[in-house]
Amino acid sequence: MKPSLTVSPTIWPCLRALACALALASCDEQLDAGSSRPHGVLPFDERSPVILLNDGAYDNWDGEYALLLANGGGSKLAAIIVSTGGVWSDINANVAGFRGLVNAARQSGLQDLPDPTTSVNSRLAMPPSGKVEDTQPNRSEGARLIVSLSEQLALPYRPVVIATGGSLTDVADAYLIDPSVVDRVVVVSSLGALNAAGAMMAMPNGEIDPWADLIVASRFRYVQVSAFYDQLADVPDSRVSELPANALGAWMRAKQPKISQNPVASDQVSLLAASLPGFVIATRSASVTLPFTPGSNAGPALTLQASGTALLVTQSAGALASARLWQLLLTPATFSR
Amino acid sequence: MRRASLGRAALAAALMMGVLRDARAVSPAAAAPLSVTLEYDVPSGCPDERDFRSIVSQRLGRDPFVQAASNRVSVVVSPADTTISGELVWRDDTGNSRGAQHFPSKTNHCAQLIQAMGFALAVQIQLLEVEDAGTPKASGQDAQPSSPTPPEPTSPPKQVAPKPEAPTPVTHRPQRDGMGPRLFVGGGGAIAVGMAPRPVAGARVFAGLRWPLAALEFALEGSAPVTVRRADGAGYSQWYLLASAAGCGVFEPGSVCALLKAGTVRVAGRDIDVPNSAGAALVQSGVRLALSQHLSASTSLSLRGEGLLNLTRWSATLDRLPVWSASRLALDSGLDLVVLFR
Repeated sequence: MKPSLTVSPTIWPCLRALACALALASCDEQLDAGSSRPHGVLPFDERSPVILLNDGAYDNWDGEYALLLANGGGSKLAAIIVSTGGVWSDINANVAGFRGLVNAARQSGLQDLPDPTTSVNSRLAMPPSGKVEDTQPNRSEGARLIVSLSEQLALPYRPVVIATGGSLTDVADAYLIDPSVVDRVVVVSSLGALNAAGAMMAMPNGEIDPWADLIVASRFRYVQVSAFYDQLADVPDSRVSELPANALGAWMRAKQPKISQNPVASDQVSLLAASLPGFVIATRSASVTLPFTPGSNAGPALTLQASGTALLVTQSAGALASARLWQLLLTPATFSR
Repeated sequence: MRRASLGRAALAAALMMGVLRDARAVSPAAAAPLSVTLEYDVPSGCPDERDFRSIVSQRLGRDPFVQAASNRVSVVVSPADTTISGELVWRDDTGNSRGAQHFPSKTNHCAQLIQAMGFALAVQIQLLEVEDAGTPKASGQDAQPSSPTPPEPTSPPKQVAPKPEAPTPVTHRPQRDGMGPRLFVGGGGAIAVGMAPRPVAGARVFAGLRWPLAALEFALEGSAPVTVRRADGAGYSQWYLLASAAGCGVFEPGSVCALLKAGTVRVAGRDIDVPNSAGAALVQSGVRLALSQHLSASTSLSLRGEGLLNLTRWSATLDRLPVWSASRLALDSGLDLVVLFR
């Protein structure tokens, strides 16, 4: 007699039903309702809040652009962190300058402007181990503000933009305080110079704290704007008389003669890259090239590489920035919100 | 003694009529009057035809006798040895017998026998009228039944022996009305929790069959779009459409149902740079508890609550990041208007 090892046919429908039920129970569908599209070529746009970092208040129009765009469809200004760097070594003078600017803007009717934050820091030193994480932090006011504001304002789909026009010391310091800050912010820096291989993290601004340059370029989402423009064209002598007849107009009239004639002093390129759609015309991917040379007066090199995580802004639209500046200055609505 | 028997007969007939009226929820006032043609054949010494007509008319409150009705009733009294017996025969317009009732008597007191037969005929006419009032007629049919079948005889106990010659509708119709399935339809609104980030309003329509202790229901239900926004104003709308089946145990005024629902849930982006629409299968099972309140004989309001298990789950994403994920459990409660058909 042949032993029967077959399963009863009636059991198969039951097993199938059980399998179907288990399959259904484990279903977890992801329904894609859409996505954001950045308003420019960078992976973020003016919808991200901005933290402005700079030192001197008089050599460029960085602060003026930030305040006007915040009241004219650009990025909301979350903080102004003022530190020292290069020839702008007097922290009190630097802070007084930005306070004067903010006061003039407020008197003119601009709103939602943060008070400048004084950040006293010192150049970060490469530790003997050579490991970034072993670096002694400053725990500066600016660094701690970056950590706390990014916790408050950053969204998974909308990081906080840190637009720097000076050294990267406070930004690197923020990482040393809280490494998770890199998940909440994007650093956009007016810094360095383009070359055939990519760019150097050098003058302007890169020479102030080279070790901080390396920390930022290697740990953060980093965009280096090395495409400067002739900022003297922003408010030429011929148009000074057109500045609005208010406190901000008076501030700018007084400041206009002090604007640096050096094109690389136009620190506002980082803010404009983040806050003015269309300002950035071209970018290239790059990666940080190590090793870093201790004691150097320049940070690491950024080498063009398709798989690189850093972005180099290689071309910008200075004329667009100037046009937007005058549009904001001459529109009464800018000052009467 | 004979008077006592007639009294019991009257009581029995009245009780039977009352029970049948209540069961059908039809008032006698709504019944169509039934007319019959009387054929009267009794020995001399018995009350004459006019007396018999009077007995029936007094019981009915009207004169049901006409010359040429489609229903004929023969009243025959015959002598048998030392006693007499009576017979009440219903015939159709072709003369065929549709039912008969025999009235034996232990005496030869004809007046009492005629009295009992008259009473029985009045009760039968009344029952037929009530029955006809609850039975839909075919278009063009005469207001009077063309071939009525006499109901179960109602006569004094022991005095008469019912001998129906054909199955009578009275014995079948109450069974069909009371036990057979009845169609119901309805609709209502609902609030669902667990189907979206916040409670969502919905509506449903349904139809089914209902037995005294059970019901089977099929429904279509859907939700209103509910829009969810994230901090930057971008968001998505979500809604669902389901077909459902329910098997219920009915314990008036409550019911308990096992549910199975299947359909689709859909999302669509709102105020985001690149909006997208997407859908997924949605399968749920669960239990419903309901309480009903009758508004009339055929309408009722039903308050229901459902506990549902989401056999399929879904997440809505914006920028490829989950904005909201469905929970395993969902609750649904609502109010339905139900119309029950005969």
